[in-house]
Amino acid sequence: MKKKIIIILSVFSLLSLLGGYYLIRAIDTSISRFDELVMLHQVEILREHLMLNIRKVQADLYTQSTRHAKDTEEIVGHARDMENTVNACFRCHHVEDIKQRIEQLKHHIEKFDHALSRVLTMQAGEARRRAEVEAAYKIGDELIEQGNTMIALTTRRLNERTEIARRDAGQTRLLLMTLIAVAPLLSIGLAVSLLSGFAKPINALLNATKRLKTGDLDYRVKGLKDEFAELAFAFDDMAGSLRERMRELEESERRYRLLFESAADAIFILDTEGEQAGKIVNANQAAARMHGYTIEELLKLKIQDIDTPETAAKSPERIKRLIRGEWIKAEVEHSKKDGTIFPLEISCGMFEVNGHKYVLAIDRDISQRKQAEEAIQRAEHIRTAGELATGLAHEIKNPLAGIKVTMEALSEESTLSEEDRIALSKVIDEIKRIEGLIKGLLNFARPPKPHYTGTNVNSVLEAASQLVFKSGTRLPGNLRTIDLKKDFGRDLPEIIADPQQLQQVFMNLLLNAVDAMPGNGVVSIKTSYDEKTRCITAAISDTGMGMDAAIQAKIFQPFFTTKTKGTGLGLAISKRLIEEHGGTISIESAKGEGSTFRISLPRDGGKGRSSDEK
Amino acid sequence: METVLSFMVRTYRITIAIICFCALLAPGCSKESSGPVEPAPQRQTLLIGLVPEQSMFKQVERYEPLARYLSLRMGADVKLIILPRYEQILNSFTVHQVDAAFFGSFTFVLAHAKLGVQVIARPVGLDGKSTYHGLLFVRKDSGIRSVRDMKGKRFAFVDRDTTAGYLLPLAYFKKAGVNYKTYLKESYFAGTHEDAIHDVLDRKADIGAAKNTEFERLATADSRIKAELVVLARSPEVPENSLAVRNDLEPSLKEKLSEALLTMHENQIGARILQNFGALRFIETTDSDFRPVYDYAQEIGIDLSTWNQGQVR
Repeated sequence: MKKKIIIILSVFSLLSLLGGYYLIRAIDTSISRFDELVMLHQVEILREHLMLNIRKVQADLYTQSTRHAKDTEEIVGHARDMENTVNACFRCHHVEDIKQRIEQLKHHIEKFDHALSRVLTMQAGEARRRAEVEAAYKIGDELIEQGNTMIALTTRRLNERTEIARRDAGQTRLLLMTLIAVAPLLSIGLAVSLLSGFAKPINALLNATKRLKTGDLDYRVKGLKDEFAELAFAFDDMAGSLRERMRELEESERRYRLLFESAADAIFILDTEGEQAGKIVNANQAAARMHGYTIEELLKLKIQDIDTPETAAKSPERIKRLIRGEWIKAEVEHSKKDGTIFPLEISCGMFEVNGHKYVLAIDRDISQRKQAEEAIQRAEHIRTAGELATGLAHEIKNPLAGIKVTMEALSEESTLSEEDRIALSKVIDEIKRIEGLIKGLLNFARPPKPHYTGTNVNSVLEAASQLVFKSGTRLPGNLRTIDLKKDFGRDLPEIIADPQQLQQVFMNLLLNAVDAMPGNGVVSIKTSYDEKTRCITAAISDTGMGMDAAIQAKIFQPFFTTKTKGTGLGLAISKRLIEEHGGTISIESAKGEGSTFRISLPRDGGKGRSSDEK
Repeated sequence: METVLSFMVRTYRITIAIICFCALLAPGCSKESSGPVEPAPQRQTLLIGLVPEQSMFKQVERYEPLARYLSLRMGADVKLIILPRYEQILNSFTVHQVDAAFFGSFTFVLAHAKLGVQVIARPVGLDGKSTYHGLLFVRKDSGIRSVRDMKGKRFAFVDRDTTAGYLLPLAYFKKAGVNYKTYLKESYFAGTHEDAIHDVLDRKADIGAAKNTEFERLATADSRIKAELVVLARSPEVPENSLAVRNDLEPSLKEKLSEALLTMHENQIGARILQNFGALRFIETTDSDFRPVYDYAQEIGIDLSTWNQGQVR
């Protein structure tokens, strides 16, 4: 394009120069023509003047011999004028033939001068004088004739030159008018050519820019030439770079999005400014899953909406620290959509995008960790209790045996009054209770090793229920009646277990069920087998008073009891024995609606363990 | 290239012409800036008369550069006046208020005798001579070789007041004891030396008399003169045409005139003008230098005081 512009401008300049040169040349020619005309007119005048002078001299000659004869000085003056006039002709530029004519004329004038001089100076007889005068006349006449010829020639040339000059002037006028008409058209043509040369590639580039703006990074500019082709190449290169950059950005964004979305921890991005402070701007799937909301639902909430009141109360202080630039780590509680409160460990800090401040919060559900901590704490508790119980049992057991034997011997004394005997009997009962407690403690702390064998759970349950319900399926009492409902699963496979320990557990649960019903009630036993899990489930339900969640949470803890005379070790021991068998025990209860203890035992639960022991 | 240069020159000329035209359209500027004009000091005028040695116009042409030179050197307006006849130079001193004149030798002698003019200088020719002599000549083919052959012939004198053009023939005829007025068929005064020579050459006259310097000058241009003419007699050497001033001319002007002429050959311009004039320099001249003329006139029997009064033309 640069070359094209240079060529166009050069051509335009050259044309302008040529036009200007031709114009000036034409004007100059016209001026020269007119100069020539003026000069020819001057020549004409000069020759007329010469003729006039010649005629004057002729007249001087005529009057020389009359009484009107002029003074010699005047005659000489006329002759000198004549000479000067012809000499003036030489000052003009003449072509050679004209110059020769003028030379001839001058020569003739000199002859005439000489003849005149001779007439003036001669002193001779009349005849000789007349002859000289006539000779002078003759020269004068020839001179006049020659002058007239030259004047006629000059006039003819003048007319010819005038005609040529007029024609040239006409041509110059025509040329001027043509130039005046053509120059703007040429300028417009060049301007249009240049503009179109610019407009087309600029439009192409503009179109490409629009395509680029719409995201079409694969669009390429085609069909441009010269510098615009280079520009198009650079443009395409830029589009290519942009596309590559975009691809990298997308890749990076996808990676971070994947990281964000697949993170196990909940990630929140929160607004910090104005009324929108705390607004959830973004949240990942883990956050949604953790809180029981969908992401869309979360994005309509503020973080305060899922904070528990205690956590929310501390929010302003945390936000202040965040604004100060601190990175905060804390344990808080959030409530799920269903109202469940769960513990979280949050880690959050502030960041800024385009002058807007946001909080990045990473929340980790620590429910299981808490439970594990509680379990460890409980195990520690049990271990401590066991060690204490063992110690105590060893220290108490022997003295207590002595006391018991002594008390039994005393109670055998016949001398004792009935009153004392009853008292001693109560003492002995209490000693036996202490022994039972010690036994239970020892059992809990160091449970006896199970003796695994093929066990029919239904049979064990049957035996246990018979021991509890001695009169069949009803446990009669003074004020109440408790029915036993049995729904034993058929084709229940045998499992590897210790039947004695299972019986201890079932009896413990059945007795608790009976104890849970102060009035009439029903104790239900149900067994089943799930082929998929290869587990036997035994469920023992009562229609008693039931229990709330807080009690349910502590029911398996040792030394926790709701009974007035309970040791708080029954369920703890039961849980431990079932877990020893690789099973689980759980409770489903509600206040006033009874409770169901559900035991799940794997079919081969004790297999490995019995072999280990062997 | 020449075309371009010529075009540029023409353009330049056109521009200058336009500027001049504009300048003409703005009258008054130059007048205002020029201020009051100081009256120029009155220049002295010196009018010098010339005798027609040759055609009157050629004579004027020959002396004009000299006059311009004198104007320049003297700071005076030196003007020339050509007189058709030699004797008129005498009248010119009273009629035309002529201040000085280049006299022929005999004319000076007459003027000095009648008007008391004072000679100051004369030229030295390119041949180193400051004198000339008269020649009496005929065509070779005329058969005229002596006075005897001249009977019934036509004689072209120059002027009555010329040494070469008249005194020589007078002396020639006197020596032969012949009265030319009756002896010759016709005698006339051609007016100039040049015409006298040409008249004989062109057979308008049979015998002629003229000064040798003019004879030589014409012979240079026209070979026929020496080829076809033959000289029969010579006059004595007399001083070349000399410049003499009127006797009452302001001495300072006379001094300036004399100095300008006598030192003319010392500067380049003067030397060049002298060259064209046909002279090497001007030399100081006094009346005594004209002794040969006086003697010649006396020899012929001319009374200078009465000469030229009532003479037949």
